[in-house]
Amino acid sequence: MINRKIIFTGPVGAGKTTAIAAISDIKPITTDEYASDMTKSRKPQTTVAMDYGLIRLSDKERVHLYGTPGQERFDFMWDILTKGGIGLVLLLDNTRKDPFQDMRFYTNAFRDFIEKQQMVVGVTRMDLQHKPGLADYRQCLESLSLPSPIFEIDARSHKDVTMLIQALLFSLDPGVTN
Amino acid sequence: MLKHSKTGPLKVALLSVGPHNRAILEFFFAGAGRSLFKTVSIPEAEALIVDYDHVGAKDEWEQQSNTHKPGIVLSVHPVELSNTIWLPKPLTSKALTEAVGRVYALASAAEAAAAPAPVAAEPPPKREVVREEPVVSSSAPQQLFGGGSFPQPFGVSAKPARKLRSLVIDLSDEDDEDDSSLVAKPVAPEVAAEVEKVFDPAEANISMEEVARTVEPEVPPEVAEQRWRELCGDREDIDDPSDRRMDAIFFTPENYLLSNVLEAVRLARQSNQSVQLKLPGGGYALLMPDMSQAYCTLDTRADEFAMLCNNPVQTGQVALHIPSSTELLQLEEEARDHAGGILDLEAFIWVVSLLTAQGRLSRNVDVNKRIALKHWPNMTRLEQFPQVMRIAALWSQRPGTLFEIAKALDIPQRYVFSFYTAASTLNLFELDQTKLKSREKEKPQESRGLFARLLKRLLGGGKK
Ligand SMILES: Nc1nc2c(ncn2[C@@H]2O[C@H](COP(=O)(O)OP(=O)(O)OP(=O)(O)O)[C@@H](O)[C@H]2O)c(=O)[nH]1
Ligand SMILES: [Mg+2]
Repeated sequence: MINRKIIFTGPVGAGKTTAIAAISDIKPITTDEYASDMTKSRKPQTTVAMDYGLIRLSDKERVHLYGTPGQERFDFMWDILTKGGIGLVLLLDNTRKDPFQDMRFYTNAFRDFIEKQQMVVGVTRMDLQHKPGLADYRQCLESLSLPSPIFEIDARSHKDVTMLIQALLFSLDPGVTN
Repeated sequence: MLKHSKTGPLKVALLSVGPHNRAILEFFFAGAGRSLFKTVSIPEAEALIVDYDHVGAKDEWEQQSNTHKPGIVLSVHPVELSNTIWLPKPLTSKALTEAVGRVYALASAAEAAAAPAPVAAEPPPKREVVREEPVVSSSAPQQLFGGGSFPQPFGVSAKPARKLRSLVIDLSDEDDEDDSSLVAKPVAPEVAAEVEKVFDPAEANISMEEVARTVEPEVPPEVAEQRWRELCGDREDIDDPSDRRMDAIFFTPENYLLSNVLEAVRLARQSNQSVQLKLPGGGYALLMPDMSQAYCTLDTRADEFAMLCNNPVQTGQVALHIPSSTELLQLEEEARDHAGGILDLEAFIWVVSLLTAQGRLSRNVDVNKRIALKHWPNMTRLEQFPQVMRIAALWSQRPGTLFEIAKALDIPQRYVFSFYTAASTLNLFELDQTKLKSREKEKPQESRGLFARLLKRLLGGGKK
């Protein structure tokens, strides 16, 4: 069985669960309550509540989709990322107070993984609020020395989320043909 | 919540259980219920789980009853059978957790009743059962796997995600904290060993409910190809840049509507006001820098618009106008009434560039110069043409000339030329030669096939 993984991250309400649902073959599950059952007696920081979806390519090949919880640290993701993580989808909510702060935070938290693999950025809820614009996000990415693809997306749109994944795959290997 | 601490999980075997509930059980056993249950074969089991709503389950339970193992009966309706406990569906974590204690109670009751004569099967060992105060007390049973009944596995629509918010530390919306307090410590793979093992659904191999996704109707191939010809032309490749056919691939932007559009955009951005561009034939485009939108009375996909872009315009045919505030209100209202004509401002510039160039290059381009893409175009809002993603991906990683990029990707040059014209009109290329650098990473060769299959799946609209 070949298991590869794509991770969706970003602040609360950015559209992680929705984006996974938009492309998953299965109804995504959320591991919240399993996790909370496990950790009621422990420190809250160890709680891991992930979204999980799946794309089955064949009996032997699967692409797993994970949505990170809104936690301050993502150390726990390493366990998952190091086993077949191919890329990171960072979703930013344009209606948040300071989405650039979010961008700095998440790109820093996953910096090693981004450097090794690849990140794509989707800015959601631009239909609700036009500003800041994509040009501002491009500046922010440039200041972080990250030439990642960045698109305006609606997390509910299969087409938009698919385009982000396309950009991710082509960035990993422009030689891929479809 | 019940927890038995000393002697390990309750060994259970699954008899007939429907796929949905089987998935729920397996998921629970692999995750939160890991310390409570362990699945084993029937002879090893201390208790048997049977889905009474599943066909053949009753017969199967009957056959097993001579083993005298206690049963956990799952059913929508109450089931009363000797030596069993009933768990109502939909299953909850609370009910599953409590089931362990109930099974032991059942076993000891059976033991007491059977004494002094020993029961045929060895009774399960007695275990210490520790009762823990539940952290969240709720009168209604906690619904772990979704509010509804089948088919709503795992509570997606129940939105349980919100519950955890109180437990996790999140980025603050309200306070202006300084950056350093928010910056997570960079994590490295080496620390993975110290990190607590996290339940990974990828390894649990759980079966879950498929979703049926409606496939968007595809544009007929001949229609798509016709449009690509409008956008990118149909010129053959030129292998040698000194070829005299090269002359034909250049155009003079100043002669076309494109230059008026760019002038209008500049004016709009500089003045931060909406600008109306009056087109030949009575139509107009309203450029709204504030919203980063454009409204055009002509359909940018119509032949009329393509011709307007692709034929040189005479001076005086096109006019720029800064509307007064009353005019602007009217124009904006008209735009709102014809929302189909509103598009992203960059998308408008993009499509005008493409339709103008039709695969040609601006006369000012130096085809021998190495360049690199600095920023990706906003692909989700732009009109697509073949190979556009691959071109962007390669060019943002590897500086190269137009010819080199086409060659490296083994694609028709007209697509690279089109991309160049449109993306440079949007100022997405790095102009500073000293800043060019390769960002290419090692390509995972073995992944290429998988990536290709994933792309095919996604682009096929969800079809398998
Ligand atoms: N209007 C609009 N709504 C969106 C867009 N993207 C996502 N949403 C909606 O935003 C809401 C939040 O999306 P979620 O997918 O729950 O966000 P999340 O990142 O999983 O949030 P948490 O799990 O709370 O961290 C949902 O109701 C989505 O339908 C968008 O581009 N525009
Ligand atoms: Mg979510």
